[in-house]
Amino acid sequence: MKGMWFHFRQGWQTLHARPGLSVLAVLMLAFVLWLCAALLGTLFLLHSLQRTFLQDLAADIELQQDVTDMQMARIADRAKHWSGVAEVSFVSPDSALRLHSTEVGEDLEAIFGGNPFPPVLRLRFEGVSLSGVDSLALEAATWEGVAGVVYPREIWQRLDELALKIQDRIGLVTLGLLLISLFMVALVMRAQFAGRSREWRLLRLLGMERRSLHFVTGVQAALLGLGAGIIAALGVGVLVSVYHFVFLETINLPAWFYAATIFVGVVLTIPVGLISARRVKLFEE
Amino acid sequence: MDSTTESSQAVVDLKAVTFRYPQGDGVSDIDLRVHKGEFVVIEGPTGAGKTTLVRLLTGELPLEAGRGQVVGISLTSLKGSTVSELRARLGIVFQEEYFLDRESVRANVAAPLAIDGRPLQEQKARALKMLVEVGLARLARKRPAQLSGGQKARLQIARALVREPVLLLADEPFVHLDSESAGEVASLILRAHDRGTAVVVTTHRQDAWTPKARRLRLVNGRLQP
Repeated sequence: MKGMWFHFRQGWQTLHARPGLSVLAVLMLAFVLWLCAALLGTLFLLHSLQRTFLQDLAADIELQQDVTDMQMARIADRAKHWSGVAEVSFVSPDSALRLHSTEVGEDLEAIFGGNPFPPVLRLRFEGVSLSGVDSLALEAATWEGVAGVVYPREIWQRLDELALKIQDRIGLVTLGLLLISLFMVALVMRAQFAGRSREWRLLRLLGMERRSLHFVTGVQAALLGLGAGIIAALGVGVLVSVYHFVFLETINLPAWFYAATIFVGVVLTIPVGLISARRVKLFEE
Repeated sequence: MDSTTESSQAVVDLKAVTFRYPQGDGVSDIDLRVHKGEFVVIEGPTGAGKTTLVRLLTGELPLEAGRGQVVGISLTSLKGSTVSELRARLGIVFQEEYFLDRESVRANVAAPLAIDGRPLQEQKARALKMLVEVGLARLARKRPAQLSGGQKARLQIARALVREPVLLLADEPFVHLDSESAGEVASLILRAHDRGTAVVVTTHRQDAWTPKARRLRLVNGRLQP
């Protein structure tokens, strides 16, 4: 594009022409971006907690009492190759009896008149969904030598539902806040454009092309978004530090999260700027 | 001179051009031909349609009827980049004070060159040369708002001529000026004409300020010889 620097200056000057309004727009958008980033960060942490918790859950493939070593080895091998299975370990009926008897403080063998626990292959998972475990359980139940598959499906399901519910709520709140703030930013930008309407007319009459006006408007909006995004990202950084200071726990938000906060600020404000300019008939001949 | 040659040498060629505002004002049935290097003064009282005519020539208003071309660009199918191309070939002096308020005087003069994407050094040099010509070089760093009425008028002339246009359109260039400033502006316009620029000036004053000019009268939106 011709005269890029000149156009960039014009975009900056529209912001500079009414600094109070510009600062208001930047702060408003920064606050909402910060809030959204904080909410999404919370969601990110929740997911991370959920993953950690699920890693502690296990599924037990209960084997038939008369299962042979060869059958057991084959079952363990097939389970190991199932997607999401991180570890397969054998729990003998004796060790299960000892463990559970200690846990409940009773002689379970005496109560049941024998060892009630079958031999078990215990599976631990990594990055697997409930539906993945469901499919494994369904298939494993058909394998030769397998009596059944037991896993804490209900807990797993509730955790999934809770995470989804929180995600939906946070998503809705975030969307609502963003829409409100973008509407306010649009109003501010319209006022800014209107304040420079004579200069815009002059630029058109001096031969500035419409696409250049789009560029100037985009620059103005992007600068607003960039300012807001940087403030919001810094705000998230401060929030993480405060959390660390208060709870003595470190939250590791990835670098892309901060970059995304800035990027979202810029990407959202550009169309808002262009729409606002169109509303004040900035691009008309 | 045959009509084709005549047309190719015309910087303005309007035939039966009409434009009416919703309230009824405007211009009707305008025939106007301005040749390269010609000086045309269009006189008329306030409300006669002078500014409307200038706005038609700059592509700000569409032709309602008739046809025309300005600096080789047809006004009948103006849109987007063609409008910009038309305006980039014109020098325009506005009746009102139109400036980039936050830019310096020099940057205002250089603005058309910046829009054209000329290199920064060239912009500065040519703007400064123009400012020397119109006697505003010492005010180059000031803002337009810090200038007097006469200085602002000269600034407009400098900005209009910095591209060395084929056609200079000046809409009531003396309207807010005292006689001394009006004289200065008139001499700047004459100097541009002497260098070969075609000039169209609209004015409500009937004083013959140049014997070189072809004078036309615009009354109630109609052009009279």
